[in-house]
Amino acid sequence: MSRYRLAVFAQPAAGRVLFVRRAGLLVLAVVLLLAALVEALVIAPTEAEMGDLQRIFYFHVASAWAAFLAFFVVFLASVAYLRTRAVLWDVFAASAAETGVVFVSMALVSGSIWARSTWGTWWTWDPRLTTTLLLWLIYVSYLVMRGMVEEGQRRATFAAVFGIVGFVDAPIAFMSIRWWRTMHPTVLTGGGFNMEPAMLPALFLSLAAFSFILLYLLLLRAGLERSQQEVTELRRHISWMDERGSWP
Amino acid sequence: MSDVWYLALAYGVIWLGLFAYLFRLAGRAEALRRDVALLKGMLQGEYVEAERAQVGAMTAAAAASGEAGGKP
Repeated sequence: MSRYRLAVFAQPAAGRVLFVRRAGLLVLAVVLLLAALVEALVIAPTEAEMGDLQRIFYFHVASAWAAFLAFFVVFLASVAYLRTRAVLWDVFAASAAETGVVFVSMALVSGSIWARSTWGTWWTWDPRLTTTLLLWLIYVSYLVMRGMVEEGQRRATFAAVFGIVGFVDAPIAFMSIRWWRTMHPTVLTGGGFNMEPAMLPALFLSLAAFSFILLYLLLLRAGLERSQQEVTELRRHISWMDERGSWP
Repeated sequence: MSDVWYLALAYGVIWLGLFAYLFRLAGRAEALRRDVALLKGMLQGEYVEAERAQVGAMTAAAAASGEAGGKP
């Protein structure tokens, strides 16, 4: 009993500090996001060929960036879990996978809208698009797998192995526009950024804004995952007491 | 559809996605808070009851040992 009292009931002070820090992070992320929006839609120069459509690029790339970062966190946390067996790493991996799926979904949908307006089709089996869709499928499967395995330690071990193996597709998706012939624009080349210098502030602001949003969502989601695991433990404890008939 | 319409659609999807996910997380946090409160109530009730039962048992044992010792 005392273990559960400590785990669940003795947290309010630490919880308040965390809440204030998370609120500060949210404010910073929203301010950066609004600044990036103004920079992308108003201040950045209009591209000569695509016109205003090119402005989709800033938030589309930032979504993809946040997704890649999230999947890298899944990879790192999975390695850390297998090395230490600390539940915290499993919590971070699960949270990063879910957040990454949200961001990669936004990148796929915004990219599809951009493709429709510039290439005349919502979808094409281009190497970048295909490998990114594969990345989405891998991490959706990862989340489905987590939901299917009930036992905590087994689930965490399976998920960690999945998280490491699944990450193999991330560098392939990133490098696909260099390795294969593709219609997808190449922004980052060996010689630097392949775009007007006046467009770079909008790009960097968007990348920074999405990085902070990712960090905020990751912490929020990790807090929920931790609480969920505690609730599961408490339920297991109560059902164990029910089975033993040890209620007074 | 015009370029501006596609631009608005793409940005709309991204903002909608972000807010939908935030609201979903907020909803899950609320549901978890309710669960924790419920389980806390159950376990705290159990704890108090167990303590009461233990005190009762100790009192009964003390009374029994008193009787066995021949005290009035």
